[in-house]
Amino acid sequence: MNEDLDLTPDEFRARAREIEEALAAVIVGQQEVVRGVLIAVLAGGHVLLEGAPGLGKTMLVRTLGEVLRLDFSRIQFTPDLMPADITGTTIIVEDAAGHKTFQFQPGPIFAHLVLADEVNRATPKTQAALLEAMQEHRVTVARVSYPLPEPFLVLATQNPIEMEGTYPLPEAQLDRFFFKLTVRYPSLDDLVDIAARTTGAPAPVVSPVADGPMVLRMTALARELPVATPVLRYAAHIVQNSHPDAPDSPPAVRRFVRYGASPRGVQALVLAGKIRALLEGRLNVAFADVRAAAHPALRHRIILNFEADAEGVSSDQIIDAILAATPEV
Amino acid sequence: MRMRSRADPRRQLRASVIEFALARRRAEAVAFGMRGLTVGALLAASAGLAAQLLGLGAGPGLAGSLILVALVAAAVVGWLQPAPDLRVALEIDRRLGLGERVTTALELAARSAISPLAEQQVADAVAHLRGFRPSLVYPLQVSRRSLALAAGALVLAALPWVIPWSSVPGLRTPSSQVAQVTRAEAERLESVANQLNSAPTTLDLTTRQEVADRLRQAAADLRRDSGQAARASNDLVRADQAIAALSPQTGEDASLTLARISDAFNNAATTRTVSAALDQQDPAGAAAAMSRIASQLGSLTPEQRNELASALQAASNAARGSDTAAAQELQQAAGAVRTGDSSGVEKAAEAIRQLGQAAQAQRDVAQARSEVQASQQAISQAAQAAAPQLSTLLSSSDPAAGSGTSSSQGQSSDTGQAGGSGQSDQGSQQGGQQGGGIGTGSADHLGNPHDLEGLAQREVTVPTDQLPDSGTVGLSDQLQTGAGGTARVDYRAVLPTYRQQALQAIDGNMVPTDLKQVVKQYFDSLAAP
Repeated sequence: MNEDLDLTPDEFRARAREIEEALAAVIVGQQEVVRGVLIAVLAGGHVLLEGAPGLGKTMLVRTLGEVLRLDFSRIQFTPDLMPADITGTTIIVEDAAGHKTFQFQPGPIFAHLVLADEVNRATPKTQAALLEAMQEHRVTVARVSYPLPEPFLVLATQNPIEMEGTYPLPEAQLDRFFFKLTVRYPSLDDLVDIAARTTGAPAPVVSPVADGPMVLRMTALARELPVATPVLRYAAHIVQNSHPDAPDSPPAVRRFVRYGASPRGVQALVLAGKIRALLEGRLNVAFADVRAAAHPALRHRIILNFEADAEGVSSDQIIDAILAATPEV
Repeated sequence: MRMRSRADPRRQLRASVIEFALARRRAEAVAFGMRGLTVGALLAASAGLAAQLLGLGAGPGLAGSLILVALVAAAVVGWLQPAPDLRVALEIDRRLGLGERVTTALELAARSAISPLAEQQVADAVAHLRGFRPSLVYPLQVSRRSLALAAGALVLAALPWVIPWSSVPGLRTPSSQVAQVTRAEAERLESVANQLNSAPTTLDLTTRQEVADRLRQAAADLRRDSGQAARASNDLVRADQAIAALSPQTGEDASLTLARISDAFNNAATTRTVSAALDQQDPAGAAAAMSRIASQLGSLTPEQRNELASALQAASNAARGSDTAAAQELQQAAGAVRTGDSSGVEKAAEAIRQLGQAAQAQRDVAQARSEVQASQQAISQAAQAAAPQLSTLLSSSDPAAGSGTSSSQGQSSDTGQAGGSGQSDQGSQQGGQQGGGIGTGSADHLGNPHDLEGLAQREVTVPTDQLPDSGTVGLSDQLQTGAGGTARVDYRAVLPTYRQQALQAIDGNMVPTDLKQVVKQYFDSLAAP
């Protein structure tokens, strides 16, 4: 642990629990999604939230911004949204002396927490504007690079791709998301709870429990967590087995997968495993941590072929097959 | 700054892992030992079965030795099983649910310098490990399944020695055949012994009794070892030696000595009665006749005495080569006759009686040995006769053995209107090989792509000059395809490739969206079994 990290694992866990509880106070149910978002945020990764409209995706992201006291920016993706609407543009500014100069006007992406709402409703060209920002944490306009504030987190929501008027995200952009979380329809009890909370008195104001520097410190601590070589090999083996031409890949992968996960997949598995281990009160990563991260970290990185589409096979089923076929040692 | 504990956690961790590794070796030794016990017992069962059926001279000691050796060897192998620390750590984590704490800590402990967080992790692992004893992870207990398997194998190992194979009805094994002969020979030897006891004699009853006893003992041994030719043979060898030891030690056969003495006595008138008795195989009568001569010695004339002395001297000379004691007795008798001493003649009578006893004992021994050797030969012949039966039995299960002719017949599954006609090469092959046949049938079903069996069994004609290399082909068909071409490859052989290409075309958007499903269904229908 670095000397400037004055955060202990116990403090990490306590603070993470506070964040989770604050989110749970607003978001009814969806514990798995909340936990996934928390892990991704603490890992410094971007999240793609997929679910039907009205399931609380936007509210979750907005609440997260309030809880973490981060600059929050929302971009509503539409078919006519242009790249400059995201990154910003250079405009002519006239000073008091009448001199005209070009000045960069930052776009909404210059925030700690960016909500890219319904990201698959914009055209691929506009979606690509997110690429550099998500990976490099900076924006280049007119040959000038502008760094983005840290922490910089993109939480994108998208409707299921079967819906009309959507543009599926390209593989390269999908790979830049740390997690892809599926927001499922709430249960009956959760629906009752939602109705009770939202139709009565105004919802309680969420008080922040952390801030940007704290998130950065928590991320730094998590990265320090040791991982045993067998666990690393297990994560790598899982990613390798997602490729149809891998020697140990299961039959389902050979039949239904077009492209397997990239090396970013193994990074996501290990990093998410570290966060989960700390949340579970452990100082090391276990096989179970890697397994728990497999679905959100890999489901958008495994590209299925048409046969899988025709047979109704999902990425999650493929991941289940991979986990079943990959021994821990 | 955080205080470090007095004991180095890394050292503690390594010591703990070593303890666990030792416990693992002990547990492995026990587990392997149980497996060895099971395997050894199964081997013993096989060996016992083979010994019983083949009539080998193996006893339960062999079974016990096999089991013991297998158990010890397996336990040693189990103890020597490599147990790397990393593997042990992984097993500890898994069995105690420690979430790879020990594995991670062990790896960290091996490094020269680690971060404070890593040190914390090692201490955390040591703290979690402290509450557990190695025997909890590697208990020295045997699973019920292993126990059940071992017990079953032991029962199997004992069965061959418990089952009376020779008396199992309907079971005609080489062993049972030998056992049958052995038991018959035992009965025969017993009856010979009874005959010896019942036959009247006034001579050597002691030796005869002992010979009979030895025969009875041999019969009892044969009954005990029935079915095991080697053991029975050993029993008979021992009995033969024991009986031979009962034979009186004379230079030559006592009967021959008596015959010579008889010849010597036949030359003198006074001793012809003795000679006559000896000729009638009656040594007791001869001794009695000699005693009568002794009692009449005083009434004999000097010429008669001289004749008697000469006869006794001649008898002594005749017996000298075979029985020096009897010869000496007879010589002393000759001298005594010359001096008129009748006691010397009595000694001659006694010598004749003793020679008679020896002759009888030698005959009894010879007869008994002859019977024993006959039994030995009978059992040996039975064992030799059983061996070819066994080899025949074994060879009959080999389909390639023998010299039968094949009679296979080709058959077509096509039962169309034209009917299928089988064609075979009956009797053209030797050595029990499978005959090859090929069926021909009508081609009514050529239009049905799913009649794969029909396609597979149809006789084909392939123009060999069109083949790329040799003229041999697998399955092909005379389907006229395209512009008069001949299909030379079974479509099932190429279907996977074509299907894969079609799916790639679909994935690559080379197929219109509304036709993707149609194309996929088409290839799926072709691939359907």
